[in-house]
Amino acid sequence: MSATVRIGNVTKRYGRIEAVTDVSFDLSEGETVALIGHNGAGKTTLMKLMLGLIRPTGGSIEVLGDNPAAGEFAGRRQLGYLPENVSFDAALTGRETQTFYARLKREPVAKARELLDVVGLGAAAGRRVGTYSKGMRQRLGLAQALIGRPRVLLLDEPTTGLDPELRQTFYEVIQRLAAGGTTVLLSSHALTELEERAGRVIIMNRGIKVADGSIERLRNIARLPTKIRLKVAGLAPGEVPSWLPASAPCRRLNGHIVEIDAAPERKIELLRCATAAGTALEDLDVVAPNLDELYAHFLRQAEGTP
Amino acid sequence: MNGVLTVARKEIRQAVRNRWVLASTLLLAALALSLTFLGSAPTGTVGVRALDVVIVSLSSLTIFLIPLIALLISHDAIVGDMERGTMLLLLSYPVARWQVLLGKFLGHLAVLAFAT
Repeated sequence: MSATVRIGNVTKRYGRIEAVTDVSFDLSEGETVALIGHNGAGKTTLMKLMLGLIRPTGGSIEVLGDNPAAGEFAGRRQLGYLPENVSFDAALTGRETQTFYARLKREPVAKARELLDVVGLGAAAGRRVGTYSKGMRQRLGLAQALIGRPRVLLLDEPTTGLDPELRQTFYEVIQRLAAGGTTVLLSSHALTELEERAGRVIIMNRGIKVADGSIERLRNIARLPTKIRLKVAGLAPGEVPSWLPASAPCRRLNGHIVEIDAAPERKIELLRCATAAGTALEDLDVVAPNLDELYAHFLRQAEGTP
Repeated sequence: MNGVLTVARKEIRQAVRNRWVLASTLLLAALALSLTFLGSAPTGTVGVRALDVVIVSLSSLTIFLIPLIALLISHDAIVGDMERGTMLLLLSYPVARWQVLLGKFLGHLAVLAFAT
């Protein structure tokens, strides 16, 4: 596992605004990393820095052994990038566009054209890009990012405008690439979608890295309560099960469902109580905090301690 | 060098598709034709040879018109690309900025050369 992307104490300032402040992380081969954060949190800036489109005000960046800001672009052949608002020259057809980008990367053209079929654009490849819908342009963007087996893929909100079916194929392609050793960095707002796919999450807020780690680790750090939902028969409205320890906060949801907030280490204890009490338990659900809640938690924390 | 040619080839193809080539060729051809017809009119009185007049008026026309067309197309090629956002993607490819510029320049040079 060698690091493909190294970012050390990078700061980028636009005039008086600090877009990225003192961010450092390493990405290694075969990793799928989700970069999440508000609009304007510095996600796109980070990607542009990695591509060498802009230079950092301070700190060092290394992508595939090169420094992108120094104008060394040998490493770019193994880099795939999908911008947030991808656009192409409207006058050319999809196939011509793909050929053009393949030539620029000096990759075999025929292979690049096959990618159009992979993203489901095979039938529309002969039409002008100007006639494409938003989703089709996004597919074309994806196809050009995949040219020539990239070792690092930077995808800026790749799934916006994609239909659910293609979204599935998209993640399959990503997974296949990651298994082959490609580093995939993707930013997105669809947090629930990323939850199952990303092995690691980096949360950004106002240019500062707030959290970094796998979802399980973030859950442990955040110490958000796990929600236990019980369906208990024969409980009067407003009444709380008698076996419940007084310290556990709980509330009634609609009708006869009791929701208990359990701290991570008390989860098992509470469950034992619930089953041992012999109450008429009809149903039980354990809901672990999802990425949405974790994200909100880390943002609140970051706001609270400036 | 490869990158320059690729960009140039794309620019030419785009110009053909966008009917820039067709429009500028037709415009210049129409003007040249009308000048040849009108140019032969004053020869009788002043005594200058018809061909001279045509050549002089044609050259003054090209001096005036060609930079105008060039300005129009190249502005679209660079500023338009930036505004549409295609430049961002292009620059993320293994091509240097000067290669992109030179490629675009060569492509449009070819288009204009053909039109005149």
